[in-house]
Amino acid sequence: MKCRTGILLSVIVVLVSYGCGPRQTLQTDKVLRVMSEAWMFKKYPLREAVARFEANHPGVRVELIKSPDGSPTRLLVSMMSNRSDFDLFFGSVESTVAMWGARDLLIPWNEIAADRPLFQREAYIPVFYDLNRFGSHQFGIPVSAELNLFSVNKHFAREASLLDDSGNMIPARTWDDVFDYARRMTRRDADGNIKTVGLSMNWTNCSTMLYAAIKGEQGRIVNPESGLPDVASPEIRRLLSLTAQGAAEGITTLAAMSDVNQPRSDLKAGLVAMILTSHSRYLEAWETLGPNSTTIMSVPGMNEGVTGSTRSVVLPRTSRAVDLAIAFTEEELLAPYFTRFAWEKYGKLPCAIDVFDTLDEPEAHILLKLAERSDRDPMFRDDLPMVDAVRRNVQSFLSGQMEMDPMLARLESELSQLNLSDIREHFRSQ
Amino acid sequence: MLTRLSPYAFVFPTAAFLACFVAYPLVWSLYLSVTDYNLIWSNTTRFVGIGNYTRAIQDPLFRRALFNTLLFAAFHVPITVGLSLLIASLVQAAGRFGRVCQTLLFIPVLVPEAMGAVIFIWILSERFGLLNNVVTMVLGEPFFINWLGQPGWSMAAIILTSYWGIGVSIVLFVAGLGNIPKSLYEAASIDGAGPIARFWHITLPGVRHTTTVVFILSLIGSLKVFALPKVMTNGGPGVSTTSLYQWVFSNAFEYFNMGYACAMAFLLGALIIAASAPRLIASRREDV
Repeated sequence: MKCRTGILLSVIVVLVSYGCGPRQTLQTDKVLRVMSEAWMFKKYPLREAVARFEANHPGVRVELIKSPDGSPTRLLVSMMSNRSDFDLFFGSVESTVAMWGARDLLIPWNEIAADRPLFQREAYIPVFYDLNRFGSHQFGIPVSAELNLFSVNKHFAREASLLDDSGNMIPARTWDDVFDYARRMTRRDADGNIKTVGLSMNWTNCSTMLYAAIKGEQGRIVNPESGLPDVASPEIRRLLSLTAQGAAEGITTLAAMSDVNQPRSDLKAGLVAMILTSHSRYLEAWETLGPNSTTIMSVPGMNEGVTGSTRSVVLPRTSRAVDLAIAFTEEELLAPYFTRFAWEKYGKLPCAIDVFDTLDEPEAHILLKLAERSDRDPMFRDDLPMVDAVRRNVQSFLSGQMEMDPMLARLESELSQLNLSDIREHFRSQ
Repeated sequence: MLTRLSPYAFVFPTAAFLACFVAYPLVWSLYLSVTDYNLIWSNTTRFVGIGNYTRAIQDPLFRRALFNTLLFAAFHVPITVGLSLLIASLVQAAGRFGRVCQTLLFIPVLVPEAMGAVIFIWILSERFGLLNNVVTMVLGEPFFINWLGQPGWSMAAIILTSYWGIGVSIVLFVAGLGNIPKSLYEAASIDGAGPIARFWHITLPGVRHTTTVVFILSLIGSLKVFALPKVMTNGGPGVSTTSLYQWVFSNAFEYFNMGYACAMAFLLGALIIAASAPRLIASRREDV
């Protein structure tokens, strides 16, 4: 009986120890685990990539894994615990790349693929490649990019005489022009009730809207003297006051303050004439509004470029199949067919320069020109707290809870308490 | 020897589980709450004493989130208790049809709260939302209110959406009402008591324990409110619907300020205990 109790205790201890210990599963390097966000399985030909790769590499099996909710943080903790949940991650944004890179959880591509042309800076639109460079580390290889631009319903634009002879939008030169466009495209019924709103901007991501305004006009986001985003600049004041006036007049909607998808949903439903958000929404809307029903227009001051972000491929240090991950990236994720699919179906801008030579759509080349003029967006150490502070304060103003000057003063005060040093300095000092 | 060891062997799995997943995280987070630990950027952890606690008390966002949470609780708790008792009484009085209604009212509980919140975003959406379009059809003229984008309406929308999960309280009250002997009602009727008197003198005392349970569960639930404001408004517009738990979550898992987030979580825990203790104590005194 004493022996049985001892055995029972031993079994319990072993089971608990096993349960609490790091997960170790038997796996050969013939298996490649590729993780991505769920929506990317539709917008990128990931399944086709797997089929092609497995056909070209007999004996190799590629597992596609959907990343969990809140994946940047959860995977961060997982990797810090030395767990290996994936061998390659496709689709990370720069803030995630920075977060993982700061903890030395990623293998820089320039350390392991320095001799491969497809991984070199020369092959990419520089601004997008550099977004994923931290210090001397190239943590991510950009596959696709988004620029923040206006997507416009051509039907409403034509009725408002805003298209030129070629059917392209006549660019708005100032924010006053933008709101004038919105006013002209707003549709009312016989009683004066609004049926179609002229403009919807993505006021969930307020910092992106402010960046677009200041960068369009000044060509930069950070004030060179203070090293901080110039949130109280005249351009931002003008944009905010025009938005508040426009909302009161009914020519713009603030519905996106609570729902990031509101502008694209309204554009696709024909309920709004023009939106300012990721450029790919213009092509996405063709699904419901018909081919060539929408087009793009840059933010005022287009000669100075626009803001943008990328989706890139990263390689974790916990990867168990580094060679396969490099091969899969090179042969499939960076292949022209992969990025072309995402462009043609969903408007995701390819980052590789060579791919542009094969694109016929005029919008693609407009986007390329804008992208080439774009400067790299800042990335602060306390980036997310800063983005949240901007959102909270700007929304307080737009929803009528605060006046402009007290709001900007409070915002500047909140920003002054954050660490807004350039995140890339952190990597330079490593 | 064997007899003495056997109980420990049986208790060991539970004790080990509690030690690993309750006691250890609790002690560790208490330690973190007195440090400036940042998950991403801290290479060293500095002891800051009660600095995080005093920072929270002085933090205007913490205070605003606390106000929002208490406002939510002030509407959510009494209405949940009152409404679920009322519906449970009607369900019980309606016999078999009542049981069908009870089942229907319980179905939303099976839907995850976050999913329910997404459904209500669509219902309350300004331009293509069901509610505005139905009202437009009824009125015959455009009716577009930005329910989730205006400070007053957005909190009201979240409070109303929270009754989505009232089915659990109804089921508890139905069970509590079922335990009241029918003979008490019959005797009261013979003595001339009307419906209100019977409800006041028989039903309410009869569901006292259930009321305590529903009160405490809804109080804890409302002080921990997170998914609804996070999904429906992301705490906005501005900070008008930011809840305390949301602010803790942002600091812990978005800003990675683990030390500060742990301190706020302990303050929230203390608040929940302080808020629910009086009702528990009163309930026990009533039993004595």
